[in-house]
Amino acid sequence: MELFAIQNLTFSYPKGGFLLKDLSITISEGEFLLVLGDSGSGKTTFLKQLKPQLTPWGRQTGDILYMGKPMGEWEAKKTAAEIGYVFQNPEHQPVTDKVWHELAFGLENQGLSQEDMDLKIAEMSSYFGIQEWFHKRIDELSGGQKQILNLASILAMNPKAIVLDEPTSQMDPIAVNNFVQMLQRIKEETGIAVIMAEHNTEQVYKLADSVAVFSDGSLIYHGEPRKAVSFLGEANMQQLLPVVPRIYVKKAVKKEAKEENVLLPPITLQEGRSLLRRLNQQGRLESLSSYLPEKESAHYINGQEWSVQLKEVYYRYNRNNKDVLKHLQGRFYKGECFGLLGGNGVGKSTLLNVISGALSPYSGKVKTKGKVSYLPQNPESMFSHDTVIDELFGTSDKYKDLFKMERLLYRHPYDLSGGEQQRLALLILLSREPDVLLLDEPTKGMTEKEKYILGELLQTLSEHGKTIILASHDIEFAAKYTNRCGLMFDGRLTGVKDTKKFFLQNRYYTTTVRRLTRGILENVVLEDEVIIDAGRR
Amino acid sequence: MDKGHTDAFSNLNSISNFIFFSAEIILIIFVTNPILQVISFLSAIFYAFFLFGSKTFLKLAQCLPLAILSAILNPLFSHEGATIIGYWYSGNPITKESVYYGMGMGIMVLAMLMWFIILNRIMTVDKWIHLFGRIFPNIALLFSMVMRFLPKLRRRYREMKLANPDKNAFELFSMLITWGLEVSVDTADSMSARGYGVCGRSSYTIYHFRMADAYFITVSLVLAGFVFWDIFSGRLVFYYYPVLAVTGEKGFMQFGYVCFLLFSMLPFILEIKEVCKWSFLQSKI
Repeated sequence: MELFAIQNLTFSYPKGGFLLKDLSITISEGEFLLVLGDSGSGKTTFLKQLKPQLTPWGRQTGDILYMGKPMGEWEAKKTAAEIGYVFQNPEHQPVTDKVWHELAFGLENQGLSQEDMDLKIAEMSSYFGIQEWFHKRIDELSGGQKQILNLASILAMNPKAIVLDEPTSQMDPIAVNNFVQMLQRIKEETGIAVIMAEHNTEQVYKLADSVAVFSDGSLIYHGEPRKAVSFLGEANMQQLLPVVPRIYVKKAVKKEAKEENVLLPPITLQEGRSLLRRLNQQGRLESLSSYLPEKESAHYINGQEWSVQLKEVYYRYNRNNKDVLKHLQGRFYKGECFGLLGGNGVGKSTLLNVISGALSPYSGKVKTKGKVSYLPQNPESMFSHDTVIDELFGTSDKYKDLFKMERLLYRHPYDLSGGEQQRLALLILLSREPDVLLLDEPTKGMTEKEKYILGELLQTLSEHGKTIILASHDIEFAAKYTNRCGLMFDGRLTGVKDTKKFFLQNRYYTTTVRRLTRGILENVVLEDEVIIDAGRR
Repeated sequence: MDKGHTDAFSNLNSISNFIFFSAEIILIIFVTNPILQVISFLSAIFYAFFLFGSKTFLKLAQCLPLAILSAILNPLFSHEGATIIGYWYSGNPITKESVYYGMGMGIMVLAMLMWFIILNRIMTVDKWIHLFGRIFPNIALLFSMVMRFLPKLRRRYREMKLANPDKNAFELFSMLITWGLEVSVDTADSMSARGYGVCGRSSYTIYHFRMADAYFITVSLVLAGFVFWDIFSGRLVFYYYPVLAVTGEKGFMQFGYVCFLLFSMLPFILEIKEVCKWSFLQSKI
């Protein structure tokens, strides 16, 4: 049965262009719909149309039917409970201070009795494994746990559909994995419809029953995920796909698939590997990598002078706490972009603050040359004005053009997209003329396109002789744009190497392309290094 | 030893805890009988030892100055009483009765402070919210929201300070306000998305009223009731002035003391019962 039926929907704010243009789509009960599109394509506007409590006020034509009746004719009590909404930032949803209270919040709003709530909360906590942290303060949870709690407190209300707006964009890969597993269980075990927008589709793409692609306010594709691969390839929008099908859409492979009547493009890593293996046997696979593992790879270091030096640094927040940094050693050089990798909570941010001098170690030495500036995880922490142009007052023109901010100058910084906010924050940071830039998770919540722009910027900056230290759990970004990488673990910085060598050597903590090509094609870490049918055409 | 919240008394419902503390503290504040005050003080110490272990000495030492002060101040300012035992430099008389009265006051202050320290430990923020949330559910929700917001605010302020070392407190504060407004919009969205305000609210609690609570409240009310009844019928009243004197028949008085002792020791008795129960259960395993 159709859960949502949207017919010829257009939407715009009173003084603005169309955010949704002539949209028609149906969503069935129990369907898993993945919504793709660049930032500003109308994804979020679409999602909010499905949830009457969050639908912004504006000019709207067309119909939104929920279970056969116009949305507006249903009682608010019903739509509030039956259509759940999970917000992008896990911090935004929790209303109360305790885990148990948060699970109960929606049920309390429905006016349920203690007995009814008790059962639903017990059921939800057992299903999601929340028992261990049931009595905790929400403040004590990790970002991943918070988002699982948010999902659980929506599900406790017994919804027919849940709408998720980029729910994993703020998480590290392990937390994303846990969250996606929850979604998989919901899909397989409950019959609840899931409508989810996401940039990072690496893990979730294989779960989708259908894919909707938005561009500039229009729905340009709606259909099966495997067919969407070909469509996105032809529309030159493959950056919205996960890595495995992205490799497939390289022209030659598409031809190959047609020749052999293989209509289904690969989606999982396994499928991708078997395709590559077949191509390799036919001698049609080549590595573009010019990397020679024997050569000592310290070429970024040779001849460069260091700008940050750490000697046996120990740090802890409190006398009674454990060491966050212990026996940490390292040198960072002028003109390099260093990737500081590791999961959440391993001390990456602490290390950046120790380098910036905001925190001082209780033992060991930190030496820096030149001015050091720190860009925090949340770019809003850098904003102090009402418009972008005011934020940029006094910033040198040298970088302004590079950042592509012209059309944003009169917007409020809080209204920008995640990627635009990061760029603005970086520009504010540059106005302080730093020699060493410390960036904390700068790719959080960014689309592939935005990451590309940021990556190019960082390369330009390091060419200008800046030292960039980038703390991130974004392996793919680090593999592409850093010169050296190291893994933070147990308070130390381990395995510091040339980026290429780092990712080639690691088996698990490495790029998808490396995992895809290991044993088939040697010395490949990045997508562009896989060449298919180079000679033929 | 700090035992956390595994003790039997704090496992009771907040209503049981509240009734006990109110009766105990009202009794010792309004009764001038030194024997009752000593009973209350000793019971508080017993229970405090169970809760805080050797830290009790430290807590007792912290209360001592105030108790000594009130013991000394009384004979300084009160010159009532028939038995003069000396004179101040100013020529005012020091009476035996006012010295005893001061000592009684000191014990009372000590007992009261110890009970407040125990109350502070047992009645956690959650228990207060549960207690008053029944009567004022909206205030309880508001409080919970504030408790959610404050740590976020603190963390954000720290981040802003780290990111903007050259900004002064006023500038940081104005940045924080902008951020706070944004957050409150998000919270409002989240609340309405989950149906806040569409119909009457109920409130959920993880604290339950059990048979043990019913027993506890009955026993406390009966015991405290006897003591109150004794006091109001003038049987347990102790007179300091003009001379020390007790009214009432001996038998009734002793019964009142025993009732008060049992009442004040209730939390401690509960713990002992629990310890016995567990060692019995363990011996069976």
